Amino acid sequence: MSLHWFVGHRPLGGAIHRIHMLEHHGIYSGDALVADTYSDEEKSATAYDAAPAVALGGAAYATLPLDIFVVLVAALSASYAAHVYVPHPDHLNHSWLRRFGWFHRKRELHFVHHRDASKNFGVIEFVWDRVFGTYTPAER
Amino acid sequence: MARAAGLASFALAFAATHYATTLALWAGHWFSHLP
Repeated sequence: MSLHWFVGHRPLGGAIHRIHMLEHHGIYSGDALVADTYSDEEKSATAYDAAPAVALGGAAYATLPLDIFVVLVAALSASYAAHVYVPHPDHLNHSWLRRFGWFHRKRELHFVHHRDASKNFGVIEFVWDRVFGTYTPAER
Repeated sequence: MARAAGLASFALAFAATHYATTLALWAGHWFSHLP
């Protein structure tokens, strides 16, 4: 039942799938993994990615003490900001983040995902790929 | 003592939220690859 629902009855997932696969993977594929500027053709899926944060924030506000809620919002905001501003320069030839070794390491891991879309779903944090068995190290 | 406990609580809540967020985004990314 759940697989049927996932595949056949999920307009939300369908939109994410279209944006991500047809635009992000379509634009940055093969040997064209980096460009000088962002493509105007790529739509943002941030509204869909933010949905769990909004749900989590609402649930936390309703249930947690105020001080813990403030910490949660701070961590949630920092983590989301990192996911917005760190992965996207992965595909740019010129980025101020390129001076950092950690950025190159994470970028190579993300490029593995563009070569094999069933690997490395993480973008700045690959711990969950290790947990779920989808981690693949970058070739040296 | 209370200050150390407060900082430790902050760090714990911050790290737990960060990893919960990365898990949610990992799941969303995985979901976006379903046909």
